[in-house]
Amino acid sequence: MDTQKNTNLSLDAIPANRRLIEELSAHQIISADAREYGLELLYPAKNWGLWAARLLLVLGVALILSGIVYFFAFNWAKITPAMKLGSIEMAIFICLAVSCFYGLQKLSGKVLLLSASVLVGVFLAVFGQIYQTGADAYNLFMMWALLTLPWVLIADFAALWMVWLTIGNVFLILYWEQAVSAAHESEMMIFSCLALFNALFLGLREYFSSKGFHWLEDQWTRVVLVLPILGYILIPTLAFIIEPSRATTSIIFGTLLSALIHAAFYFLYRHKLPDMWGLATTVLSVCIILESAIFKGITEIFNDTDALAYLLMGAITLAIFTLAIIKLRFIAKEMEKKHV
Amino acid sequence: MSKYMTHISAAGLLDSWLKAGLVSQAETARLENFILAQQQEQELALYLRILVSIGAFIASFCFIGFLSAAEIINFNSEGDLIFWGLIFIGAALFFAKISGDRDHTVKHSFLIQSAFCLMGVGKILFIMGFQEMFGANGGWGVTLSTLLVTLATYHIFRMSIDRFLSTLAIFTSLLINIVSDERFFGDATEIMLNLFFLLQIVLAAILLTHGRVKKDYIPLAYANAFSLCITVIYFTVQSKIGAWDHQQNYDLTFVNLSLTLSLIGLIGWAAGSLEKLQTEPLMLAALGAVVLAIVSAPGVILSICLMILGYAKHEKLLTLMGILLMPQFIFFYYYNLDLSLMVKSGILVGSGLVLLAGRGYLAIKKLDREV
Repeated sequence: MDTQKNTNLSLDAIPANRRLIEELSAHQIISADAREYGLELLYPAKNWGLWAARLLLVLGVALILSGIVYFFAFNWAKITPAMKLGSIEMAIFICLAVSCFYGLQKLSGKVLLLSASVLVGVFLAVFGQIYQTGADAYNLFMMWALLTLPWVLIADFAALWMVWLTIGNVFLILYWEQAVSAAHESEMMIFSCLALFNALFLGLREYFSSKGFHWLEDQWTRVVLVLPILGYILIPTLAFIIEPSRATTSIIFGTLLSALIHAAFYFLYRHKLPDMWGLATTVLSVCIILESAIFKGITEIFNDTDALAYLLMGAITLAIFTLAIIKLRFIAKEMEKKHV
Repeated sequence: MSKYMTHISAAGLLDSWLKAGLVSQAETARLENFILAQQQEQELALYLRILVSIGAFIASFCFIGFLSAAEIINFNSEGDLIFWGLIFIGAALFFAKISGDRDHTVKHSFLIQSAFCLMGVGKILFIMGFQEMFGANGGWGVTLSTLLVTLATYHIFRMSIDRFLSTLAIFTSLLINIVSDERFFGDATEIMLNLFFLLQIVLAAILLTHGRVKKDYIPLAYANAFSLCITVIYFTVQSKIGAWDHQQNYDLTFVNLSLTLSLIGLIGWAAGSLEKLQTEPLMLAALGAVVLAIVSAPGVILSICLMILGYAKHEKLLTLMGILLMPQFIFFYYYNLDLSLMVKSGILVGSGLVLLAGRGYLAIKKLDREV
C-alpha cells in the first residue's frame, strides 16, 4: 500500500544484491555454484577484508582515545603535572609522526590526525585541570578549534570536519552563555548565529563537492549539516508563532532568516543540486511550521477544549502532509526521469 | 526498507552467470521473468514513509483528542473503547480499499494517509480497551490486544509502516511485561526473559538471512531487529529485573552465548557458507567474537552483527543502526562496569590495541586491499 508500481522496468534498472541471489537460490532457479559465484561477484572476499580492516581501525582508535580520556579524568595524583602534559604531548607527536609516515591519502593517516586533534582537547582539559585559572569553558573549545583548524584543512577527511564542527558549535553555545550575557532582546540570536555558522560550512561543502572534492560527496556530510541548521532556526520561528506579540528583535530576525534558509534549501535541493533527502527534510520543517501556525490560529478561534478544534487540526494535518507527500513524489519522479 | 549499495545490475549478474557457464541460454528467460515478477512493486522511499508516519501520528492524536472532548467515547468504558477501536479499524480498511491502484493521484495519497491515521486511532482505542478490561494486569492486556489486532490486520492492511510499528509494539510490550511484572513468572522470570531473547534471535536469523522470506515480512524483520536493540539496550542499562520492590539480579551468560553464536553464524553466512569458518581469518574473527562474549559486551556484539548484516545485504539502515548503537553500547558498557576510571581506561586501551592487532593481521595477510 505504501508502495509504488514500477513502470518501464528493465533488468538494467534492477540492482543486484544478496536478496536477489538468495531468492533465486531458495526457489532453486539457480544452482549452488551460481549462488556462490554471484555472491563472490557482489561481495568479493577481499572487500570484506578491507571493510573489516577499516572497522577494526576506527573501533580500535576510538577505544584507545576513550581510554586516554578516562585515564586523565581519573586525575591520578601520583603522576606529576609535567608527566601528564608531557605524555599527552608525546601522544600527539606520535600520532602526527605516524600520520606523516602513512600519508594523508590513507585512512590510517587521516584517523591518526583525527586522534591528534582529539588529544589536543585532552591536553587543554588537563592544562585547565592543573592550572585552575578560572577561565570560562568556552576558552578551551575556542583554543581547541583554533589549534586544530590547520590539520582539519589539510586532512580532506569528513569525519575530522564533523568533530571540528561539533567543537565549534559547543564553543559558540558556551561563548553565548558565559561571555555575551545577552539582553532579553537578543537572547534568541544564538540560534540564528548557530544556523549561520553551520550554513557557512554547508555552503562550503556544496561548493567544494561540486568542484570535484570527492571526499565531500557522501550524502551524510550534507544531512548532518542540514538537520542542525533547520533545527536551530525552527526555535525562533516557533517562538514567533506561539507569541507574536512578544517577539523580540532576535526572534523576528530568526524567523526571517528561517524563511530565507527554507527558500534557499528548497531551491538548492530541488533545482541546483537535486537531492531528495535534503528536500524532504526542508519540506518536513515547513510542515511543522505550517502546522504550528494553523494550530495557533485554531486555538485562538476556538476554545482549547473545543472538540471541533481537534477535529479541524486532525483534518488539516492530514491535508498538509498529503500535499507534502504528493509534491515530493512528483519531484522524485521528475528527478528519476532526468536520471538525477 | 532496503537501500541498495551495489553498482551491479540484475542484467550484469545474469550476463556474468552466462559467461561463466553457470546458467544456460535457455534458462535466462525463466530467470528474467522471476526477477521482473519480484520487482513489480517497490516500497516508497524512506523519507516519504517518515513523513507519512509523522503526519498520521499527529493526526491520530488530534482525532483521539476530538473523541475525548466531544465525549463520543467514554474512555473509562472498555466496551466503548473496543467497539470504537474496531469501527476505526474497519474505516481504515474501507479507506484503503477505495484508495484504488493509481498510486500517484491526490485522492489515493489522501485516502492512504487517512487510512493509516484511522488505523492508528483504532488500534490505540482497541488496546486501551483491553488494558482497561485486564485491570491490574493491564500490561498483559496491551500485549494480547496488540498481538490480536496485528495478526488480524497484518495481511489485509498492507502498509509497511503500520506492520513495522505494530510488531515492534508487540515485542516491546512483551519485554516490558516480562521485566517489570515478576508476579507472573516469579523465579522463572529470568528463564522467560532468556526464552524471549532466544525467540528474537531465531526470528532475526530466519527473517534476515533466509532467501524464501516474502517481502511482506520485511517490516516484521526490521521490527525484530529494532526490538533486539531495545532488549540489549535494556540489558546494558539495567542490571536488575522486576518491579522496584521485588527486583532480582539476572545473569547475562545466556544472552552473551546466544549473541556470540549468532555472530559466528552470521560471519559464516556472510562468507557464503558455514564451512568457510574453517579458514584462518574467519577462525580468528570467531575467536574475537568469543573474546567479546568473555568480557560480556552484548551491545558491542549486536552492533557488529547489524553492521555485518547491513554490509552483506546492502541495506544501509541496518549498518546505520549498528554504527549509531556502537558508541552508546561502549559508553554504557564502561559506565556500568563496577571498576575505577583507572581500570576502565586500561580495559579500553587494551581492547583498542587488540582490535588494532586484528587490523595488523589483515594487513600482514594482505587482506585489507581493495579489489
